[in-house]
Amino acid sequence: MQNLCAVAVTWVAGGSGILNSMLANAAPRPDAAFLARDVDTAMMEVLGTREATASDQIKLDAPLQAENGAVVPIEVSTTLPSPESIAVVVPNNPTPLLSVIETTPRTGNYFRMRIKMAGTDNVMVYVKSGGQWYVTSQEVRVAIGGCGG
Amino acid sequence: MAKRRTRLKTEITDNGIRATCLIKHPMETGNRLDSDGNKIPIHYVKYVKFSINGEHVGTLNLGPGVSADPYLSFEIADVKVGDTLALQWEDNRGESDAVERVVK
Repeated sequence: MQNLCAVAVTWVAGGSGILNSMLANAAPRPDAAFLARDVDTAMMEVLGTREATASDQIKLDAPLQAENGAVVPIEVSTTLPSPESIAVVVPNNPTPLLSVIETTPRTGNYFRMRIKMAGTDNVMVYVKSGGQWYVTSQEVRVAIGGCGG
Repeated sequence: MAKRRTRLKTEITDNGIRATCLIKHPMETGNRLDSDGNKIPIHYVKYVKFSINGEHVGTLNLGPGVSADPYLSFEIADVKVGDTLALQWEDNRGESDAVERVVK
């Protein structure tokens, strides 16, 4: 099964590469990263690095305890200057990468969404500012996992 | 194909708006089994794009780990009353929807 997944991921990656070269001005969507089953692959695809500086200029608001992992609300705001890209990662989820936000100078300071969590884990929010990645995280204790299977 | 519903509302903030959308979508991870023990195929919204008066202002790329019926908020700066906010999304099966709101 793992092998099958790997093949599918490679195929998707190849396919999106062709599409992206056609849409020269659109930022590439990291499709393979969203289906990657381990956090390292996803992170390398999106961040290009695993290095990120912990920052208190990213504010992550998530519940300390979630009864139902299928719906965990998170709220993120940042005072980092001109955020370029934001990634939301839950390392132990079956697919750890949840969202990548491409911002423009008018956006990126605040967003809110609801995510699934397979179990008690950290929610990691990475923000790219000035070519550097910054990170903040918070642990959410999950009573019932929300990824099925 | 079932019709997907997208709701979009805006709130005025200090220097712009907060756009909030609710997209009716199952967001299947591909990990769940149905009552017969068959895998439910993966089905998720891939991106939600926002624009103001036709100018692209940001994209939320989503993975299957976002909760069913994605409920998202996104702040956009320098938006005035009367500007047009547009939202467009597409899922991994090519289903899509688009809505527009005049900020008031």
